[in-house]
Amino acid sequence: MTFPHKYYSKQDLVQLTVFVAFPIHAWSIVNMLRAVPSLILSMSASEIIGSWAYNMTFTLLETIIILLFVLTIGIALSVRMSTATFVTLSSFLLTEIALMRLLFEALTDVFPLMGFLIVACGIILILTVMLVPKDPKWKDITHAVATRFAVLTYIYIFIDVVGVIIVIVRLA
Amino acid sequence: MKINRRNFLKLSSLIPLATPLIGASNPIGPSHKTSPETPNILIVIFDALSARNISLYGYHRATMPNLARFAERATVYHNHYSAGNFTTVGTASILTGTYPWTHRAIHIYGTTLDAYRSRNAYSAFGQYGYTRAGFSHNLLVDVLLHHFIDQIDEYTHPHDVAMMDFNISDNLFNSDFGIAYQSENRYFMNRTPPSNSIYLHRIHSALRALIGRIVGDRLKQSFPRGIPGNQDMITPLEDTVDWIMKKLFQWQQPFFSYLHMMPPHDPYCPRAEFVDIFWDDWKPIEKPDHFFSDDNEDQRSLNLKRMIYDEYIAYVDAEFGRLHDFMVENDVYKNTIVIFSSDHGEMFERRIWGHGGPTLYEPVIRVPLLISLPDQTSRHDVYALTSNVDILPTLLHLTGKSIPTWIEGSVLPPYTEQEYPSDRSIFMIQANRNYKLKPLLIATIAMIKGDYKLIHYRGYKDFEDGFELYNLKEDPEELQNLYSIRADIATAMKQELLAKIEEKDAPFKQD
Repeated sequence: MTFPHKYYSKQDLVQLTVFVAFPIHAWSIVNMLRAVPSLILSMSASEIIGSWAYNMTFTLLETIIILLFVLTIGIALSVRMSTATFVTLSSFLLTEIALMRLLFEALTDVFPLMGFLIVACGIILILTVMLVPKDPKWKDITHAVATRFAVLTYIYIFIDVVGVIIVIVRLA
Repeated sequence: MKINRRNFLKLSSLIPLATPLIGASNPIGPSHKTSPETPNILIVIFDALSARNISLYGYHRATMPNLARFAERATVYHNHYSAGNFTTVGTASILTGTYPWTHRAIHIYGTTLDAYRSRNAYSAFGQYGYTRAGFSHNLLVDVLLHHFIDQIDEYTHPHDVAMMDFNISDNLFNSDFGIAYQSENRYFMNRTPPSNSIYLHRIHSALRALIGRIVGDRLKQSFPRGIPGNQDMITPLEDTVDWIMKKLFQWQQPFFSYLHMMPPHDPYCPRAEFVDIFWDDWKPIEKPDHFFSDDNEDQRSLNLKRMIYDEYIAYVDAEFGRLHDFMVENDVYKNTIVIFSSDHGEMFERRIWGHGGPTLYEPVIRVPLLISLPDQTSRHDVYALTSNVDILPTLLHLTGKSIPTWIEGSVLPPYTEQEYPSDRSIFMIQANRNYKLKPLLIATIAMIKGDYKLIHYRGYKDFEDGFELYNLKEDPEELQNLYSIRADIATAMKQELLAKIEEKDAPFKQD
């Protein structure tokens, strides 16, 4: 049995990969699309493709770093929390953090009570940690979501790999 | 000690270390191969140094006494202009001898048209046996240097001189630096637009702050207003000046070296001894707001920023003074053309701070230019209108080389044998909202001819296309727009400017 499989089933690994990779890629790709008009101003088509390729390379790097971090935390907590509970809980937390990032980005310049917002987000995260492990239905929900988003996540990771290949070709 | 073969070889190995000591009696370095036709060329650029804030040019505060010492052996240009108002544009014009409407490095992170990979200062001097070197703290300049990298013999990474470099691209993706650096900035820097990353930019910025604090703590007392550098690098000028002194002995001669230092570009971080030296009652003239004024700025905060900028210039001057003394002591001036200039200026007026915006007022485009020829011992002052596009053709002329036809600049007085035209027009272009390969539809373009300056705004959203005209001799602060008052001059200048734009746009117009 390989090292991660000692702690995580294949299904757990897929679920964590989806919940790590999907928001990271969605955010990265949306922002990159928003930047395209400004890139067209100053870049040729091959330079824009190069810029995309670097972006996807960084996205893959971020996905790997965060996934390894989450897996490591899970292993470290394995004496106090079952793997199934950890996978469910971290799926929730990863989704919430991504949504909070979106919220902060949208409200930074317009919302007058940022301190209040930070406290509210903190309370949501604490409630998640307290409530999610107690109810087994959350496990089924996160698993169902992961199953539905898995194919899209694989496509994202495939795009990353294409990006890495383009970067390697550009550097060669 | 007995001098046998072994001991002799041991002692011989120490000779290179002693070179700086014995160099005092010889022009730089052991490999002195320069001749009157092939002197070394050293271009020293300080980023965002406005001539309007330099004491040598009549500024109220004594910001650059050491530059005045250098001026005693140089030609001082009093009406010198950059071709643009931010680093990429200004630097590309220095290095190619062309205006931005031609080289088209008009965007942040931008590069010139591919044709200029082999039409630049490096290519121009390469065929004459020069060792061509390039260095910059400013990574926007590095994007350009990488664009010309095939023509550069000795490129030095900023991280080789920096105390800390947190950039990834210049370490990992060096051969594709321009695109990689732009992508890295989008991914790791949470500016506007927001970072493309959810987590990594936070990790990156936390690590940067931590390491920056560890490294910066050692310098905190010396730099109470912050550590010199930019967001990703700690680059005290002292280290760079020491590095230049070392390189002056190491570059194979004759050399052509372009050195671009970040200070006094913001953030302004003067050394402790310069903090508060300009805390005085002096207040610059208040100027009217402009459509492009920043609502978040006010005159009081601009005056404070200007004061700290002036302190930072004084710090730059002290370090330049140290380099100057070194070059005097080591006879560098004997066989080297030394050029001192800047890529653009800095604004502290009309509720506009900094550079790179759509305006082209004097503080942001007037830059210093001093040229010291080998063995020059006296000062010359030139008041003719000159531009940074003139530096390259002047260097080629001074070294007896032919000037390629693609260069748009002219040989500067007093070096030209022909009479320098008193009615010459020079241009400044800001077009960072325009497509690189399309005619100039969204841009600010200024033209100076004689005493008059015409500024043309075109294509800006919610701002009507229009012109401003100033008499720089009678109104150097550009307070009275004469466009409708001096219609005769305005019309003639407008016709000339529009015809020039039409001519320069022609290659970019689709059939």
